[in-house]
Amino acid sequence: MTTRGVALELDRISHRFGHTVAVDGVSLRIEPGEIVALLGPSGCGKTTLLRIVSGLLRQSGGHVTVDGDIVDDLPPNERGAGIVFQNYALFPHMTVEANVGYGLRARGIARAEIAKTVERMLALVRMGGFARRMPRQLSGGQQQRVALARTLAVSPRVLLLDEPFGALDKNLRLDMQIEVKRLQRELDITTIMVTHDQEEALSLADRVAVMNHGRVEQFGRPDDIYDRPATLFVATFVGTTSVLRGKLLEDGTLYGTAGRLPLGATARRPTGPIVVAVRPEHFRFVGDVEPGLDGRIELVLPLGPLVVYDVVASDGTTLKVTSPRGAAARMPGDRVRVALAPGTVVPVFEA
Amino acid sequence: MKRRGGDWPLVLPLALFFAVFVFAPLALLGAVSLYSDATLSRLGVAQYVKFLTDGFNLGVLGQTLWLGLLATILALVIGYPLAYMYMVAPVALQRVLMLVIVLPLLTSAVVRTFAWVVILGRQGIVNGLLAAIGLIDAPVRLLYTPWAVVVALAQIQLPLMALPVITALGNIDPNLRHASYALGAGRWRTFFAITLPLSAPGLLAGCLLVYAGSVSAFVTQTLVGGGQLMLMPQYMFQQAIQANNYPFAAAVAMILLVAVLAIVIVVNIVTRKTQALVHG
Amino acid sequence: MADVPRARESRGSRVERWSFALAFGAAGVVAIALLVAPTVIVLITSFTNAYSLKFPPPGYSPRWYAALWNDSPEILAAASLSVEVAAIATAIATVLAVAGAVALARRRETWARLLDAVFMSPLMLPTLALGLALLVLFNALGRGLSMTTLVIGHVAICTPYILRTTTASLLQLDPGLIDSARSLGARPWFAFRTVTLPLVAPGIGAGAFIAFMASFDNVAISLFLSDARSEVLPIRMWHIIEANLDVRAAAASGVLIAAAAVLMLVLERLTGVSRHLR
Repeated sequence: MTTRGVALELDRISHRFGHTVAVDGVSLRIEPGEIVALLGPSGCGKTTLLRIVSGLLRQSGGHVTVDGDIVDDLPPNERGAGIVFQNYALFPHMTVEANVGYGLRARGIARAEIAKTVERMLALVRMGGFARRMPRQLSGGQQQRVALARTLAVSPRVLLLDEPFGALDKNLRLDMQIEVKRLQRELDITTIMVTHDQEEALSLADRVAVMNHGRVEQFGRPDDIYDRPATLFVATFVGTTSVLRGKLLEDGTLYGTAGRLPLGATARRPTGPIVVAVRPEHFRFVGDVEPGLDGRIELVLPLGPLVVYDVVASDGTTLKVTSPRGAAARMPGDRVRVALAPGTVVPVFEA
Repeated sequence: MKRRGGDWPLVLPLALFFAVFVFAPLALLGAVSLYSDATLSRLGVAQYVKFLTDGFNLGVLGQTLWLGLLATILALVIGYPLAYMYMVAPVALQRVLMLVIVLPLLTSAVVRTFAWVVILGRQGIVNGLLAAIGLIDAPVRLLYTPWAVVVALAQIQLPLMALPVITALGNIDPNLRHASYALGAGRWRTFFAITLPLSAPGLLAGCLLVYAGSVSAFVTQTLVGGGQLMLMPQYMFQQAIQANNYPFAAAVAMILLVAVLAIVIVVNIVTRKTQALVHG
Repeated sequence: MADVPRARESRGSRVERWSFALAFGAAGVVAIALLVAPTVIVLITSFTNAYSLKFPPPGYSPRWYAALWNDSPEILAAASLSVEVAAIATAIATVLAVAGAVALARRRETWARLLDAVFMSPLMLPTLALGLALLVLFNALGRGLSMTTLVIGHVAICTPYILRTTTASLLQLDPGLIDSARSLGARPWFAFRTVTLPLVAPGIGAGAFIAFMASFDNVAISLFLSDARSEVLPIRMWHIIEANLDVRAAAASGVLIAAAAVLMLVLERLTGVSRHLR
């Protein structure tokens, strides 16, 4: 079975439930074979968007285009959008092989053919010996693999995953993530994955769409999202951030209630009040001679190769600073001064 | 959570009541049925022999169970779409629908049956319609036929079929239907492959309630069936109150009890099997 | 996006979808009509001005309701007896059933499950047989039929409803509440009275209401245990309908339907009773 990846385009999709706006003018173009993550807090509209793409929900406005055709008029059983639900939705009264073969039976394919495809699919997800089992006899990870096999068996043009790893425990999660990525690459199938777990999104996806209140705040590659967040929401939602407020002075120093912090080169230089988002790894401790923010260490958390410091600045703002282990250890209560590491370009937003 | 073990005595009053006023009478009834004649002088199974070897008696039993079965099937055919409609209806309509379904359960069988007497009577709406269309010249006798009883029973017991099915349909995860559509199955296939099988427990419960109710529906059977149609409930009543033949009446009652109990047990076993399958 | 091709749904799929919606929609509408029509027809017929149950009625008048109220002492007496019996039977049944529910709720032992099945059996088994059985019992004990014997029979059919709703309410009750009350020093009866009972009251109320209506409407037990002088309303109505199709039966039905509807709406507000009938 070969699946040629197809392009998927969302053109100004909007949807309201009664008076509530769930999706507000979302436009995305997803390239063939790409895996895109829809990332955002609960209620941001990502699951609604997924259901719209699958055809289970008819959007209030905008168009969904698959492989060059507008598919708005197609019901879910004709769209070729395979969807794997968060709770897997395996048919409890059918065996694993009956589940996997379901879509093929619906197409009227010959029994012998179905049996071969089912066998191949189960081998693909490494569930070969489980054909005769019932869903309730399977663990969460096993159920997910069967759900995947069931969806892939009908050669969908697009694969949709709704919080696929949410119900798995941590150890299993990584294995399954690798498995899904491997399958996706092997089959070259355009995939949209909905998640609220940013680590998952940033590690698995080719591009990430960060959503908030029904809108896409940024759509780009993971490192773009992380290093060059387009809005304050993206900066604070993805990764850990310390938020500083103040005014930008002529010489590129941030002047705020916490003190003065030289920012070096910044992409933008707004004149009004600004907000700056700094990643913990971009802070460093400096001596009293250098300009920086004064504060007191509140907590020290050793985390593997790094040590995370909670520093409280003079105005009460909490700054998160990470240092590699082995550098000079500091204790809670120590008075310190923090500045930006040289070469850091911090994102600056209007307040 | 530790269970307080000491309050089991609270069940004693109820248990005592049932022992004296439910179990004892039924046992007594069984005992009475073992007398061979109406004057209660000799013991024996003559009553049961009399019942099971007489064509008329077997006919009464057979007719009762058969009409019960027909009524159940009809109630299923009408009740399932009703329950399905409830499931897909918007919330406001659901509330109204639920009250409409529940109201008949709060009114007497006499009132519900009376409606059918009005509908099927010589001057009733069915005859009126048929005459208006010109299909008949004189009123047709609709009442006092077995089919009238079946239709009346099915309609009267309809809520008992609809409610368990509504509950069962509500318990089915909607994602299962969505998954079926996304895999390429249409509405009909999804219904027969997914929805119907998974609603089996409620379906069976509804059938059981309707069957048990139909078989014992004295009022409906007598008012709509009339004197011509003799079914078990009326037979029991007639033999006891009018013929004063208590042993025979008791035998009829016991046979009716056993007939219903047997169905209850069978359906319960089947339901348990399907429950295991459905609750994955 | 003007010239982007639009994919069309296949004919087969569209036919499929519409046939399904049509079939179930039609069946559903027919079902609702069948559910409601008889009640509506009775209500309409009760306002006829004629002496027969002709439908549609030749004219309308409330005369039969007036006749019911003014000229039907035996019907009113039967109604009043039904209310009395139902009230007493429900009261007794409530006490027995609530105690039983408290004892049996959350118990897994075989004897508890067995008892539960026994107590619920009147809902499933032909109560006609129980009526006859009780008649035989009372005859054997040498006691004639009376109000007492009638009430006893009705208590038997009332208890399952109250037991069911009370058990359901108890199962929804957070057991931690009672544990908290006890650890604060409350004695068992005090905790029951001030914590359990108020929270379970709507369930008990719903059950009592359903039981009351079941007793009021009951024919099977009353058939054997009513004596000729004092009949309950359903039996009296049955006789009327069987004998001469008196239009007053339609008026009486109208009143009963209206009363049930009003009570149901009120109880739905207070206890959410429809939940318990599922």
